[in-house]
Amino acid sequence: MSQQLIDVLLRLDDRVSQLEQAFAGGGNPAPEAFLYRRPNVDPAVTDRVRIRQLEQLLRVRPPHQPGDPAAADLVRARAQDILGNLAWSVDPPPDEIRNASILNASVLELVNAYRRGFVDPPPDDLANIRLVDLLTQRARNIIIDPAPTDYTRLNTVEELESRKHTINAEKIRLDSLERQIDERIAAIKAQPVQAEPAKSKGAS
Amino acid sequence: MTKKAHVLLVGYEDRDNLGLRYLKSSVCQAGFTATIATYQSDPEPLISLVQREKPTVIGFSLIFQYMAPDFGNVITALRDQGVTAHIITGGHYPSFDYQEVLQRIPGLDSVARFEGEATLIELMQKLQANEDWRQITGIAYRQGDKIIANPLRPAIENLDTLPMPDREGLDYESSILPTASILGSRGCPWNCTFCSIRPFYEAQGGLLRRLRSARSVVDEMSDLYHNRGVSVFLFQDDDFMAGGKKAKEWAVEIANRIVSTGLGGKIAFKMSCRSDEVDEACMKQLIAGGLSHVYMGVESGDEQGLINMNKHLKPAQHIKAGMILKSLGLSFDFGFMLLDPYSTFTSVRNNINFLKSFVGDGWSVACFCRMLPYAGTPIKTRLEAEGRLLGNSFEPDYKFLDPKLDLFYDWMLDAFYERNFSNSGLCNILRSLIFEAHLNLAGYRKIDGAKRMRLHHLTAVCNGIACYTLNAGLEYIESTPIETIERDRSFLDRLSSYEKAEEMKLMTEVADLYEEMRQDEATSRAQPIDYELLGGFEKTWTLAPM
Repeated sequence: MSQQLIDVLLRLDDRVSQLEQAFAGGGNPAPEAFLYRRPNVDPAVTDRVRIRQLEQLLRVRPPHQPGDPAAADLVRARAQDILGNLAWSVDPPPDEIRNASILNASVLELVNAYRRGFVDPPPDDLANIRLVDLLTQRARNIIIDPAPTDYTRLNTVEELESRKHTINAEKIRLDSLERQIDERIAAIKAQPVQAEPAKSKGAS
Repeated sequence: MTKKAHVLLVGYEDRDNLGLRYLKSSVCQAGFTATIATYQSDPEPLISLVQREKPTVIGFSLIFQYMAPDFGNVITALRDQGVTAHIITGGHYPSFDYQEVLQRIPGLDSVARFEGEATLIELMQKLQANEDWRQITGIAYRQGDKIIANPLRPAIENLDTLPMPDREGLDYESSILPTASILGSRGCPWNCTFCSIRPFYEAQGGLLRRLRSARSVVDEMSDLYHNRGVSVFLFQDDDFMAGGKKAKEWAVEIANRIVSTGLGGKIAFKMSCRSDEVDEACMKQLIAGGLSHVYMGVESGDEQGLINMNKHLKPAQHIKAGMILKSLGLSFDFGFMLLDPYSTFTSVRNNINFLKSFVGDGWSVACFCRMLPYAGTPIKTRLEAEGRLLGNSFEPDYKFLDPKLDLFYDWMLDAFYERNFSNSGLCNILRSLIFEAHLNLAGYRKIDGAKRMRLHHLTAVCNGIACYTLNAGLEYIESTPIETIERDRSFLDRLSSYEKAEEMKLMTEVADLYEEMRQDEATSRAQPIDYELLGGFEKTWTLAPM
């Protein structure tokens, strides 16, 4: 068991290193890096891999060069998109990733934005601060790390009980979200269908 | 010329204390003078005030039974400082337990029992004329070792004869959402076992619920709106709809008058009622007059529990009422006693399941407590007769029939105290935010739909986590021998920690949402908001004029 865990950690570390290399200049682009992830094994979505991607993007930004729009704006907007989307609180299935999920598209946008070269404001700017804020404030309530399914490494009653409680808390959150989505679907369906404007007889 | 008798009225004033305010306006109308002081446990400020004003009478409004010893300390401190004014107390608790109060607070001269306006006026007349006050009706006092209770005076037949409550000194004007308490009636015809309202008003005879005229109520609202800027009214009537068809017509007349006097859309109000009084057609008429929030006395979701409480209701009626209010977009909250003296594990489980069905969607916050046998209630009498009444007169208590439920209650109190009972707990904060999220008031910006949904989502999670924790604790205690639980509380401790940790997470999310609401407000206002001045339901968190 312990050897298996070590193997998993080593593989995870390896992938993180690949990713870091990719951003340091060449190698696999971010979406490909995601394809290496195995569902139900890696940490959940806003996991270490993703955090490191975002950190890398911010860390390697050359400061004080001209550019428009400000890098911070793009980074912040993307980060907010990513972290504000509650649907990503569970891993997307691998085929969704292959289909260039919204998340990958967002990361690609970030990469592209970086390659165009950004600049102002300085490295210790609002974007960094904001990103850390977002990750710590928003992510901590929607992320379970390690993944809920990864319970085999837990051996004591206390750990298992605690995991069960955590899973239940997540179920309650997801149930509530599902209910709200159902309500919105019902509300949209209940709206009267707008009749198409009648075409004038003389129209071609 | 005889100096006018002066009364210093002392009581809690977190919100407008209408009991004191009616007393003040009544004695002033009778030609006396009066001031109101907010009660504090520290007697020094009151001693200074008494030395300055030299009142003929000091009247204490004792609302909370458990506070009686604290009041006793303040009264003793006044006497120790040589205060010779006549000290009288009134309110629900001393009206019923006057013997205990007079015995345990030797500094007291008398107790005004039940409705106090006419009694206080007569007391002041006697004291001003230097006549014997011991003969006046509605009073109890000490005579040597004996406690004498004079006959009660009849209830005030026509509430319109009372002057409007004196609201001097209440700072509505500087509040961003000026909010006032108001009373449209006194009394309640229902006879719930845990409540002392009916015994309180029944004691003096007369109708079980007396209504002010709708015209008088709306005149008071109109005056407060036009002259004091009040836009939110909290009806403090014990049951605004009690009394069948006549009461419904009265409530609708109030709503219609609000509209016909031009206040429609400019004011909002909150009222309390039972779930079987939530009638869709009637609610729609009240909404037209500004109804925005309903407090329902749900109390139990267990059929047997409702029988024990003499509620004459079924859980299905609560559910139906909730659905009507939701469909009308009205926010509501409710009283709920998860445990009562006759609870069983089954009834508690039914109650938890009921909460999930009733407010699992987060429309309202699930807050819960246990029944307490307060003075004057039928449940106190019953427990006394069964030999189960424990504690003391100021803090009555009992044990459950199943000792394991005592363990459950102790654990529950520890796990949920902050959430359910503190001002900074999730229940209080979510309740206030929900109240505002459904407030539809001209001149105030509505909270947008997405944020309102997020608020209900957070409330649903708060309720869901609480129900899960309660269930887990209940299952564990039911299936585990008492000795084992007493020896090893680690499971329950971990469960409490889990509940508290989830509450912390939720609090962060609620704070984020609140901050976003505040930012929305900041962008819509030229001047920064002084949040200390906010009013609203308990406390306004977000709203500000456009």
